[in-house]
Amino acid sequence: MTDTSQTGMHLDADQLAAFGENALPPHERELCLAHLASCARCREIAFLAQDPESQTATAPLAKPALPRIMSFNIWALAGIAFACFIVMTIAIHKRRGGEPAAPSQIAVNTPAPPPPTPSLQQDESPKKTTAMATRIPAPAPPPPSIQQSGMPPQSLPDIPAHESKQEFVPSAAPPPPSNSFVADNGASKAAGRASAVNETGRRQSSVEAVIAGAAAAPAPELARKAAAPVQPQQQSTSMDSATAIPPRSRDAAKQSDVVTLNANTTNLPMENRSLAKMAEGGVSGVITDIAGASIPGAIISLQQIEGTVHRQATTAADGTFTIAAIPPGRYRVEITRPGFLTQVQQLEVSAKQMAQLEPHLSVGAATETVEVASVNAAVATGEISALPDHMPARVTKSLGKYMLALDDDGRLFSSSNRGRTWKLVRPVWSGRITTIDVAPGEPDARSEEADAVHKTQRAGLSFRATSSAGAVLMSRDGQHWKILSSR
Amino acid sequence: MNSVEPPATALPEIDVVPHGSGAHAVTVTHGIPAPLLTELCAAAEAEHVGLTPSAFAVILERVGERHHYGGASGNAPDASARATFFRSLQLADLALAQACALGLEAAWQKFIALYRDRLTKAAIAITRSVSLGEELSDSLYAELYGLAERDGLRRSPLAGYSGRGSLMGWLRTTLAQRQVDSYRRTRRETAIEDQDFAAEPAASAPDPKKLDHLGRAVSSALAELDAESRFLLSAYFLDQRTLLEIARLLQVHEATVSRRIKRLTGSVHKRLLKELQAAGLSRRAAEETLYADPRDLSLNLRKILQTSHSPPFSVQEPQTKTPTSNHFP
Repeated sequence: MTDTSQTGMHLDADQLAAFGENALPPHERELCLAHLASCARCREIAFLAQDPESQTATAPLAKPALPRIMSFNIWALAGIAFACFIVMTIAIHKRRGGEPAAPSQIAVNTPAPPPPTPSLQQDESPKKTTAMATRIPAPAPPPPSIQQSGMPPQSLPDIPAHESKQEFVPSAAPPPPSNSFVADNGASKAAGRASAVNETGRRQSSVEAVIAGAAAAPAPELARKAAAPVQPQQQSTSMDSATAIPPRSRDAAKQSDVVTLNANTTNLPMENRSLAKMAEGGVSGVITDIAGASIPGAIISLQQIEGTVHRQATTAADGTFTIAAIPPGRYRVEITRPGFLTQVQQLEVSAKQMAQLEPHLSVGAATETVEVASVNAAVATGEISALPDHMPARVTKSLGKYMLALDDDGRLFSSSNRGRTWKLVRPVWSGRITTIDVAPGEPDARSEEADAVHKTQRAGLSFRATSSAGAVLMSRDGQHWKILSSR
Repeated sequence: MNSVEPPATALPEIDVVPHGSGAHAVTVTHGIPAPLLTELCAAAEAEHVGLTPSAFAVILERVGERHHYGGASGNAPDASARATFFRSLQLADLALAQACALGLEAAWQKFIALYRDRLTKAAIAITRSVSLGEELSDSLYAELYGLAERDGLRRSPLAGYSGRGSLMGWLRTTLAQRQVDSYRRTRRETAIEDQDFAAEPAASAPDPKKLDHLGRAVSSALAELDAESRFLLSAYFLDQRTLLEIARLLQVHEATVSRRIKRLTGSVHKRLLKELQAAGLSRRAAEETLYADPRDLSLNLRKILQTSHSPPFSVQEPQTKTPTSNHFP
């Protein structure tokens, strides 16, 4: 404790003020609580010093309302209900005599015509992509083209089957599988495309890659409204029946994706944007100085080099950051922080992969810039997976390894592994969630969660969500929510 | 004077850069690596308030040593932990406060522009009176300016600000301290035993032996509560604070405070029943005893709740009935 408290009788103004703002380390806070429990004077001062303007400010939340025993009972009831459902299903099935289910209609990918652009070189792929692939622990995105006859029909997860065949012209430049820092290297890109072409046996078929590539062009427009829902009209035309979508001029040199559908093709109920959004990537990492100490408050700006996509993030107290839902492509990364040299480098973001950035900033004037040579960024072993409902994530927020995603239907999904897997957040609110954000929050000292939670606790940040009913909620991990205020 | 004055330690001889001179000497680190110091000075805008990097380094080191760089006392923090601690401070506020404590004019100009009006408003909110608030803020402002001198050194309470919380929070707390100390000097506390409790009517005169058991059970139950629990009970029952006030101080939701207090009272009730039954009373007798009129108990609940488990300090205010403070290692 401080010298003042050793010689004095009470907590000094500095300790009391820091206690009221939750700025004390845990052991000192405990000592202050012990003193406040026994000192009426200091209690009076602490309460009197509260900012009256903070009466309407949202206070951090504690644990969810349900006590453990009630949570357990609810889970038990849910389990029993599920078991009953299974039993009933089996009983109904047996009563019907085990009639075979109607054959599912699946989309069949027929061999596609050759790609329109000459840059797609299949024979380049094996060697050139080997070096890149070694840096990629995660599998590459699905190939855009199906040039293989006899390929077994592949069914998309949520696409109701139809009997007609769909022909897909492969994307000339699907998102490259590597997230490495690359200079403007056409050969690398061609190799990336070729590697994507050569990938087979992926569950998510060429349809997604083609549509992802087709969607890459309009993605910059979508990215401008990062929190707004994707305009369905922008991409729905790509799946209109019997409509061949001409290659977009912007991507003519690299990604002239063409989707040609058979005349009998019916409209897919799942909108293109969901497939396109599933193909987005992300960037995460930690900013440190040369000595290895984390740098909070550093601003990371991503600007698409050949597009208008722009993303920005600020490092948390531990120097970490995450930027999700980034359309694949090349980006100029600028890292700024007062007192340090501004660092600029290029970054290649691949679909469904999380690029990892761990730059070390050098001290200097922020007005000075140091251009970092393109280096290979490590690719996180995981990848951002699609939401369970396969709807696009309208907004994503991250807090350390915890991520939160909001789909167009106002449903919340949380991830505890940087977007690799998602879980639907069981709503404790009424209505839909309209906004999500990261805001200062109060950690619960009785939390029993993992160390990663304590990391966000120390940072004092929490997820905050607002529902259509006007309720404001907060959570530390995205799964357990507490209603802060409601109308 | 109950509030603790900041230590009367003057800063060592330091260079004071005239405002706007643009000097930016980064040579002496005082234990802080030069690059880190440069970063911290930039974040704190130390030059704008007239502090050289070496002066700011001294200030930072003093704050870090006083607060063990955010760790427990006895732990030797490494360079990374020190850097993280320094970066977690409100650097701009710290530089401004320390520069004001040194009497740097540039810092005072900035302080007046940023905090003079807010200080007055906060004082009015605390005193709930415009005239009293202005008087309080004016007196504190003069004290902050360091008009008092001791041993030839300028003394300002701002030197005690460490930058862990915000400067405005520190100013509000200082105002509250002054107000409370002034109030306590002129008022007398009302002991809890002087108040009437709406107790359940007793069917018959209570058994003194049972009351004795109850008294001991209450003392035992409350004494075993942890610091936060005792704080909650003291604030809610003794200070009559609302749930919202307690929630804002602890930065939790109001419902959380309500649940905790309810859980606490329930657990204390159960503990009392258990203690009474362990003392030989039957369950029914124990429950009846709990409904005894508190006025029949020779208990000082305020004393029990506010009794520190640590070695006691000597009392400074003779008129203050409550035992005070803990000893912080």
